[in-house]
Amino acid sequence: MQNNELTIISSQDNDICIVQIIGYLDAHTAPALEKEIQQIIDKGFSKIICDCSNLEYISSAGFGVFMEFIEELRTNGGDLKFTGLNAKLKNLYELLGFNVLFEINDDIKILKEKFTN
Amino acid sequence: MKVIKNVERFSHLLNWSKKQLLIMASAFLVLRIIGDFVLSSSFGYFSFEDNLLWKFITTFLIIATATGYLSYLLKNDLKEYKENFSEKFSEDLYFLLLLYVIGFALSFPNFNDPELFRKASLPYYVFFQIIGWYLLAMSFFTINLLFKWLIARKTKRTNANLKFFKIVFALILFHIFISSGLQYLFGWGALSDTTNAIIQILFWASGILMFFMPLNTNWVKFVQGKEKRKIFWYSTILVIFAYTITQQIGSSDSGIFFSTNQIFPKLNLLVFYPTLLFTIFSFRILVASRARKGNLADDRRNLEILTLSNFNRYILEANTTNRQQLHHNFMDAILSIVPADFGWIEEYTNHNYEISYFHNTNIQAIQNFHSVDGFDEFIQRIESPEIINDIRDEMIPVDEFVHGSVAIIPLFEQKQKIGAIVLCRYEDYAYDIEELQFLRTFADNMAVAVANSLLLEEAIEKRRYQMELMYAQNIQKKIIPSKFPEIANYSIAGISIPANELGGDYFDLIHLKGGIPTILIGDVSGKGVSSALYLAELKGIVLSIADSVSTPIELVTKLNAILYPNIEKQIFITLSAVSLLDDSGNINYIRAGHTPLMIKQNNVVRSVAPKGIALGLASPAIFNNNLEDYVTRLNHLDVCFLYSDGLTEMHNLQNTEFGYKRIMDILNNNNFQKAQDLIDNTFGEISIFKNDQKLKDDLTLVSLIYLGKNNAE
Repeated sequence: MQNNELTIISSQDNDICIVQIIGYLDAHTAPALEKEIQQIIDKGFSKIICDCSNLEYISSAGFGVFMEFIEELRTNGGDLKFTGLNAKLKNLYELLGFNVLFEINDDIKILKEKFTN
Repeated sequence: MKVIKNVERFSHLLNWSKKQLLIMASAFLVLRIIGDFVLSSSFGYFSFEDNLLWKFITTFLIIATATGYLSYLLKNDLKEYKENFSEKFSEDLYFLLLLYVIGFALSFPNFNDPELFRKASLPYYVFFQIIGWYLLAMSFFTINLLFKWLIARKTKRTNANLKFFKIVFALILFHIFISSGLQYLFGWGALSDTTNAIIQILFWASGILMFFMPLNTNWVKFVQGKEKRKIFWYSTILVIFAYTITQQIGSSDSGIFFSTNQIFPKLNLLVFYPTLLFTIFSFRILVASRARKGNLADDRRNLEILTLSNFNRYILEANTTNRQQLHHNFMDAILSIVPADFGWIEEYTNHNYEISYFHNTNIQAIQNFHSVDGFDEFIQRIESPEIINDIRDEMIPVDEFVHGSVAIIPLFEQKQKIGAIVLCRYEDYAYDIEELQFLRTFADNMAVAVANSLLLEEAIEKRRYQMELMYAQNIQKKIIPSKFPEIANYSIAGISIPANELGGDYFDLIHLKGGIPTILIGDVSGKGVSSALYLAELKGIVLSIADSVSTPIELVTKLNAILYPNIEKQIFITLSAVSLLDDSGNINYIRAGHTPLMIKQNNVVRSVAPKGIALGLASPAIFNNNLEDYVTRLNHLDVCFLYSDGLTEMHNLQNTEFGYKRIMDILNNNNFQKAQDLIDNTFGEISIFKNDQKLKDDLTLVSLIYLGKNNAE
């Protein structure tokens, strides 16, 4: 059987929090990510970059997690940006229209620069 | 008119079809005109009273066959009329408008010039009666519209009026053919004078009745902007033309008076009466269409949607297993949209009922209703909300306090009727079609709510789990169609299989404004009960706005505008819609975040994904700016394939994904003749791919094949 686990590693770069999402993000694992992001916000961060280089699968419930926090992050002057999307994930983001709602870039440096400017 | 019924019965007896009757009427008409021509060229006649017997027989035959034809028309139209009233009505008004304008143009040269006929040379002037025949046909269609109206929007009093109008018609016929005939043939003027006097009085009475008739013109307020303007202009023009024609046909020195009476003496009465009624009727409609400028229809629609939304949220959060509490909430929610003078909730135990909620009523009044013959049987019989329009008329009440109209919403649990919500209004025919439709949508949502409360109980009582889920699934089967209606030149098939007990996928075939058939496929994010509830909500909203939007773009922008502020942040819905614009293969496709449309056109398979964000994610400003529709024309046996991500993202034991390529291969390697074949074939591929392993995600497939042939390619 395939391994349906989710691992989340978050690190800090000045006032930016980088969240690595590894494995499967679906209805069962979404609550874990939800909890993690909530904690990050509680610590006072509002600028988050999600690194999806090792994200193997994302379901609609997974997308829901991002939608839950985006408004709060933006009112706090921050944002949620994505990097490391492979071709398949990019296609999925585009089909749902997430590319319109979120900033996506392969180069994490550019995303960081945009945050600091 | 008894005549109509008898003609109808007679023509059924002889097995005459609608077409045959029309041909016969036309043949008699031609015979009559040729006969007139021959008679007047050989013997010469001029006055109305010449050749009365010949005129009598031919006129009778023509009117009888035409009446038979008319009764067919009336019967065919009525069902459609009841279902799609406002649209049909403005179509009919338009048709009559054309008839009246042509009638006006034909008779205009003859206004105030009775001598015009007589100026024509002798045998040819009989042809002028064609104008009379035209006016007669016009008044027949007028009667048709008036009767349809009175029958489709009937109340008890309009029913009485209909009878009255029919009696006046019968009297006019009697006056024309019998009493005046006697006067001409034998000089018996007394009978003719009497009937003439009575008819004069009845004309006045009819006019007054028509004006003060309690017509239910509420529907005009619910007609949307453009349609409403149409009705306003049509009726304005009709008032002017119908009035002019009425005035001319009634005056003995007008040309059309003469051309009608040339057919048979006094036949002008048969035109005068319907046009008079119609003038007043058009005036009533004109007034009603101006009555309220506020957009009442939109207000009510928004309130309906808001209630459905609030209601669903309440159910999601309530976590109540208290059935009575749930029923009370239903009642409150319904009363806020469909008000009632009084009502109650009854719940059944064994062979008795218990009242768990009173609204402006008491136990004695409720018992009075239940003692009405047929009332209990009616509640037992119905499966979805129904209306009793007039309880005194439809059942035999014993108590004088029982009157008015009643709406009954049955309550179900595990397929068993456990109670009913009963709403009453003092007035007869007080519930309209729109309200009944709302109650039905609401009942679907209630069913999901009850299933949800059952599911909560199951968490405590695991043993009943399977059974009750089966019940919830049955409700879902009601939301998702099991069969599509036939649409000319298209073959359509669809299936939805939930992975878990309750699915979040949706497909449907709806009709947009103007009756445009539109296939929908949707997927609510997340899984389980909450998705199922949002799905029920989506279906409710789609149903309430479908007939007010005319394009897929309008549909999804409106859906997003409603859903975005109302659904939880993390929930979104992907949706695709394909409108079948006509029967020659033109389609309009919109995609709101859903998987791309697979299309096989001229044997080339492509995936089509125009821009579009999923519903509920973005504000209308952003959503509408990132939306494009896709219009194309299908040729013979071209295929459109819609599916949920449950298909593309399906994994097998080797952890490979089904993906888009397999779908394209299926379309490339087969030539499908029927939509169901594509679905069957896809299932074949899935079972090979999955090795008969269980599905992990909801799976929905909808296929469309164009069967028509396009010539110019």
